[in-house]
Amino acid sequence: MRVRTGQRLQSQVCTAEFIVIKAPDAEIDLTAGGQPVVEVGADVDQGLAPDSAMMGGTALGKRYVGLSGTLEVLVTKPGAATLANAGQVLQLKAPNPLPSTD
Amino acid sequence: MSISLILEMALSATPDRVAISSPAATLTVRQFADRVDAVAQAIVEAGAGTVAYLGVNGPSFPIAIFASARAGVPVSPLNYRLGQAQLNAALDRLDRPLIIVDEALRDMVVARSSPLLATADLLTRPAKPDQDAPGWPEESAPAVLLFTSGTTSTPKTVVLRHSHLMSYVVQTVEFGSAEESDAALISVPPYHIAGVGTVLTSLYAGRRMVYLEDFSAEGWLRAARENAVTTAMLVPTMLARIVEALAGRPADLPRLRSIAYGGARMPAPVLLKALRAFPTTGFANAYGLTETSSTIAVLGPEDHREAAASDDPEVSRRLASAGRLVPGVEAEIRDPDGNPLPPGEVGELWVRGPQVSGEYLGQGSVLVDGWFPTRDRAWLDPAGFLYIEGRADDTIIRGGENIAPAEIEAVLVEHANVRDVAVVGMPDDTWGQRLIAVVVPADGAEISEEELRSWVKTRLRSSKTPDQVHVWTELPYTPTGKLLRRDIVLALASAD
Repeated sequence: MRVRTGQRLQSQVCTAEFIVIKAPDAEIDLTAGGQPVVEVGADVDQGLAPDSAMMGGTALGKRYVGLSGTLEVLVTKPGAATLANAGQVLQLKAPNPLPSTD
Repeated sequence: MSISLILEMALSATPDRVAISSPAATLTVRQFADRVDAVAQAIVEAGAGTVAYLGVNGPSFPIAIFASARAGVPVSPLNYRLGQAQLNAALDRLDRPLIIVDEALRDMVVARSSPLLATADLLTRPAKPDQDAPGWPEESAPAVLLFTSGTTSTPKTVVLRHSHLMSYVVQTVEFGSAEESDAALISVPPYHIAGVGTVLTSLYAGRRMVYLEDFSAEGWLRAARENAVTTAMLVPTMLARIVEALAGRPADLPRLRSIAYGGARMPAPVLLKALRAFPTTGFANAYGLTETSSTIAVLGPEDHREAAASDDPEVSRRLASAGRLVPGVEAEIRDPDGNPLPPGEVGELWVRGPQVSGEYLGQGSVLVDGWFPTRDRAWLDPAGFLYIEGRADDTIIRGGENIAPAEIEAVLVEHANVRDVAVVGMPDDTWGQRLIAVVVPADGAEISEEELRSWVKTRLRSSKTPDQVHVWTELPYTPTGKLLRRDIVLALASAD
């Protein structure tokens, strides 16, 4: 699939929803719980079974990165699934140390 | 990715946390979201194309921001200090405005055919049940229309789209990072980009917003103490007034963790006094423009401490810097032909990034390959610290030499007898422009023109020495701390 910045995606095997912050200019294979993610509002295949090795959870408000930082997503609804791209687990991005400026 | 997402996420994470406290109302995130829904219905019912917000600071403003987003229309905070003609000219630029207005300002707009809604009603208006909520606004839809201050040219209406504001929030703030006891004291008005930014970043961080309706130094200090405020943003004129009111005493606000300042140049003596008055508070200098969705560079508390303690001039001078760029923003210093300049050289600052709008209502985008010309003269040091010299429009050309008034002002304001100063260029038959320093003396001090001229001459050079010194009792500033150079030039011209 191709994703675009600002696109809202959801897991098919848990409650997780997220939004694309950075999109690579390439086809990707983005999964949650080992199953392909779909656009929010699209039909969810209820019959899909999660890959138990990919159920570490995603936390609300956290950013996850992959593909050497060219793919970044922000979790807008938490869930039980782990996000991965082509089998590579997306990594939690370190919190931002900036002070409050406004 | 619309700003509505911020409220949705906050509601899911911390529904019972206090989002806003002010004398007018205290609202939890859930109560706030209910207010937003009710007001969004009113906006949809009115068939509004824009929401104009004409009021002082208060909890109705964040409600108006999120309700407008919910209703899928942009919100335009207006300067409530404008005269009736200017205000109506601004309103004329907006598409079918619903005007949310303070009772005290109603007379300014009552002659218009636009629907009106009282700011106080936003806090009480009941939501109608069983009404379909509007869908999500597109991320490319305009979210906020802000008028520039117009200190150097006619005010322009900056278009900030949902994607710009969300990029700013997501790149610079960690979601839910605030403690439950954290509170931001908001004293910049709604029509300033920082007044908009703080609503988005505070809710996203989970930080309580405390509103100060009208700024006074004593009122600010009292509100900070009574509300156990932990962070605050101030424009330099506000910080100067607070430091003056303290008159050398410490502020005694141990809970106050950080003060951010920005919006105009900070005079070094004010900053040094502030560092002494707030010994337990970290300072952050934020640089940004309306067109860049608020902050694009930050000099953080650690940078301040390091610079204040350093003997290395390369490091200590950073107290005068705007800091380093925030994530996602790139900068280039360019010469007048658009060629990038190396570190240390002064030119125009161009910036690029997903939070940069560079678009004006009725005029379109001024971006060139995504790059926005800020009209600020600046330079970068080799470590990436950004130094702002001032607006390109303020540059004085004397005898063919480009002179940034800020450089001379920074020297003059260090003189013990000088409380405030502005340097402007006036037409001159010999030099093209001559340098006039308008000086406000420190309490009880006598100004000697010769002494000030030689003070500058020994520190800069003769071509940057003011040709004349005028003594005024005060300088004209906008309420958001921007020096009105144009007014100074006009006053000097009419006195000639």
